[in-house]
Amino acid sequence: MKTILGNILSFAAFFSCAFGLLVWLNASFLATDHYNDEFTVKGNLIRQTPSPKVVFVGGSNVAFGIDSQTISDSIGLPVINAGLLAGMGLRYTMDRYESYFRRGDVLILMPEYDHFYGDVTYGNPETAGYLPYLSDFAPSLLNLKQWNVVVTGFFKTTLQISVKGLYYKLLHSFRKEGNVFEYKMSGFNRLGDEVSHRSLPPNINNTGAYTVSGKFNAGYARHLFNQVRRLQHHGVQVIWLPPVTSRANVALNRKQITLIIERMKTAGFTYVARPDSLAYPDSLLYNTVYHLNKQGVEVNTQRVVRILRHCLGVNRKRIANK
Amino acid sequence: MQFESLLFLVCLVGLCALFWSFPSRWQTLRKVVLLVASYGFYGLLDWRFPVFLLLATVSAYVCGAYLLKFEGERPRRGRPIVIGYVAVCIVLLFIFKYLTFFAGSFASVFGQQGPTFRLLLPIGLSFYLFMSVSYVIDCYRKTITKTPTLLDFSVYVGFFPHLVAGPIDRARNFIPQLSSIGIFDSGLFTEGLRQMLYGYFKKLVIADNLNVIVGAVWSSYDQQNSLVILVGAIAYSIQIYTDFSGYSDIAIGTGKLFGIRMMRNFSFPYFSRTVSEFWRGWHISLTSWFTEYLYIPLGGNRKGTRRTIFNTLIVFTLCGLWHGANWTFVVWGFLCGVLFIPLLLNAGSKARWKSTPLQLNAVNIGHMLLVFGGITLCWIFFRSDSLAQAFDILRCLVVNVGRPVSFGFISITMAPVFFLLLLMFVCMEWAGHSRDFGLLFVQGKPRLYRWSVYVVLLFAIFFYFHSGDGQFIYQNF
Repeated sequence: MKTILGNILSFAAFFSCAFGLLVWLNASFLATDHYNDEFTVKGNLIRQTPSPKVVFVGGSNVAFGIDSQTISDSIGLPVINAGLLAGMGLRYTMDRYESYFRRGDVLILMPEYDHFYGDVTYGNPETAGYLPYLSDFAPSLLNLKQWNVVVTGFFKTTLQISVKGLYYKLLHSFRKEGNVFEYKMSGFNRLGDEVSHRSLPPNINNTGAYTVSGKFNAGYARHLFNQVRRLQHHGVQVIWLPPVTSRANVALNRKQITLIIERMKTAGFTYVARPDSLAYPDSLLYNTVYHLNKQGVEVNTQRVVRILRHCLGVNRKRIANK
Repeated sequence: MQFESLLFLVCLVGLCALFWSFPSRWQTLRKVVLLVASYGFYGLLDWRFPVFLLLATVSAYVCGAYLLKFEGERPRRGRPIVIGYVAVCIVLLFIFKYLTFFAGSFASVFGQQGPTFRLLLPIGLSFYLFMSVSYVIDCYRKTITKTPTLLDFSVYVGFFPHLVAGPIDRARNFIPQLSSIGIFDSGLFTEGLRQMLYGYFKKLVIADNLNVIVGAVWSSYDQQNSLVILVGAIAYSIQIYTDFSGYSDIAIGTGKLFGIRMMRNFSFPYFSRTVSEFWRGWHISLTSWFTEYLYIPLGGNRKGTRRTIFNTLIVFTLCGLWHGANWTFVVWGFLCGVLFIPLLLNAGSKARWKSTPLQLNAVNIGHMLLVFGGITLCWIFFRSDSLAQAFDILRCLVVNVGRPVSFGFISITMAPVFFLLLLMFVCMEWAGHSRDFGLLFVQGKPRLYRWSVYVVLLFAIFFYFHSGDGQFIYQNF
C-alpha cells in the first residue's frame, strides 16, 4: 500500500510539473491578451473611478451592446461597461464587484435571461475555468457548484489555451491573418466596451434563437435580490434593464422571461423597460443572439440613453437633494 | 451521479480511502461500506430506484436459497420456481420497458395511436435483473452449490460500478472474490487506475467528439453526399464501441480498486475477421448470458444446421429487443443474426480462423474490413430513431453519390488534434490487442514512457471534456 501511494504521489508530482509548465507558458506567452483578463481591468475601473458613476453589469450582451462614451456624454456621469461573458457566471461577477460600489453609484443590471435558469449563473468550465489566472481571483467567494465548475474548467481551459495558442501561432506563421474576429482583451476600449468587432462584417451563422432551459434557479434569484437590497441600503441606485438580445430570442423564451418578471415583482423589483424594447431584428446582430453589430450598438445606445435619462433625470434630482 | 462527474471521482477517492483504511480482517464491514455506497449511488439517480434493486435482490436470493435446499438433485419441484422467477422478471421488464412500445405497435396496426404509460423505468433494470436471473438458474443447475450470505449476494447485485450498465457478472465468478476482499493487491489497484484512465479517454475524447459527427450527419443525411453518410456511419461504429467499452473500462477499473475482478466485456471486436469472432469480443457479458441461458437451452448447434440458424436468429433478435423498445433494435438484432448464417453454413471456417494468428496482412485486414463493414451497416438501424429513417439513410447512401461532398457542417474543437488522437487510439488498441485493454501496451516499458502516455491521455481528457452533456449510450438500455 505504501509503494502504491508513493507511486501515485510521484506521478502526481510528474503531472503537476507538466501541467505547471503549461500554466506558465499560458501566463507568459500564450494568454497575454486573453479576453477574460478584462474582468480584472473592469474591476479596477469600478474601484478607481470616482463616484458617482454608472456601471453596467451583465454578460457579453453588455460588452457588445453599448457605447459607454456616448451614454456618458448624454447623462453627464462617468460610465463603465463591466459586461464580459455570461460563462463567467453572474454570481461570481456580482459577488466580486459588490464591494467596489460606493454611495451615489448607479448599477445597471442587465443579466442574460439564462442566468436565472439551471446552473448557468455558476459559470461554465470553458470560461470560469480561467478565474484562477486572474490576479484578483477570490476563491472564498465560490460555492460548491462554482468550485466544481472552476476546478474542472481550470484544467480544460489551460489545455485549450496551450493547444489552441500553439496551433494558431503556428497557423499564423504560415497564413496571413484575415479580417477575423477574435475574443481578445485588446478588443476593449478604456471604458470596457468591446469595440474590435464593430469594424468587421457580421458573422450570422450562430445568431439563431435558442430556448433557455432548466428550472428557475430560485436559490440564486434570492441571493441576487438580497445583494441588490444590500447595495441599495448602502446608497447605490440599482436599475434593472432587460438584456440586449434578438426579437426571435425574446419570442421563443416568452414564458421564461415572464417568470423572471413575476419573481422580480414578488421581490419588489421591476425592469424599467419592457424586454421587447431592447430586442432587435437579426440584421442588427453580430455573431450571437446577444451580440450587436456596429449599427445595432448605435441603435441600442440611443435607446438606453432615453431610458436612463428618464430614470436618472428624476432620481438625479433626488440624489442631489440628499 | 455520472461516472464522468467530479463529484463521482471525489466520492470514489473517499470511498477507497475508507474501504482500505479498515484492517484486513474486517471484511464484513468492508462489504457493508460497498453496499451502502452502492445503494447511495443508485439512490442519487432517483430515490425510488433502490426499492426495485432491493426487491430484485431479495427475491432472487430467496429463490436461490430454496433451490439449493435440494442438495445433489435437480427435482421437478425446483423447475416451477425457476420458471416462475424468470417469468416475473420478463413481465417486469415488459411492463417497464416495452408496454408502451407494444401497445403503440398493436394500435398502429388498426391505424390508431397507442396509449402512453408513464411508468418510472429504473436505470439498469435490464442489467441487474439479468444478473439475478443468471444466479437463480445457476442455483437450479447447481453450478452454484452453496448459498452465499445475503450481504455477499446484495453486494454482487448492487455493486455500483456494474449496476447501471454492466458488465453482467456471474455470481459464481463474483461472489467468491468477496471472501478475499481484505487483501490489498497493488498490481490490481494500479491496473484499475490505468483501466479507468483509458475508459475516460475513450468516452470523453473519442466517443463524445465522434458524437458530434454522427449527430450532424444523422440530422441532415438526405442532403449529404454518400461519402459523408458513410463517414457518419463509420463514426457511429467507433463511437458506440468507445462509448460502451469506455464505460465498461471505467466500471471494471473501479471494481479493481476494491480488489474485485469483474467480467471482461470487450476484446477488441473491430479486429475480428469473422462475425463469430466479433461477437466473442463485443459486449461479452451479454452475449455469453444469451448463449448460456437461451441459446444452449434452445439446443444451440446440436440439432442440425437449420435449427442452429433458427436458434441464432431468435437469440440475436431478442438480444436486439433487450436493447430498447423500438423496431430498429429488433431489426438490428435480426440482421446481426443473418450475418452469422454464412459462417453457420461453412462450419469449417470458424475453426480455421480460430487457429489463424491475428497479424497485419492483406488477408486479415481484408476480412476485418468486411466484418467491420457488415456490422457498420447493422449499426445504422441501431442508431436511427425509426425503421423509416434507417432505410432512408441506406437509400441515401446509395443514391446521393452526385451530391457535393462537404464536411464543413461538422464542428469539432481542433479537428486536426482530434484526428491525431483518434489515430493514436487505434494504434494503442492494436498495440494492446493481446492484453485485456489497449493501454496495457505500456506494461514493461520504462516509467518515463508510461507516465508520458498517461499525461498525454489526461491532457486530452481535460482538453475535450464536456461537462454535463455526455451520457453513456448503454445507460439507456
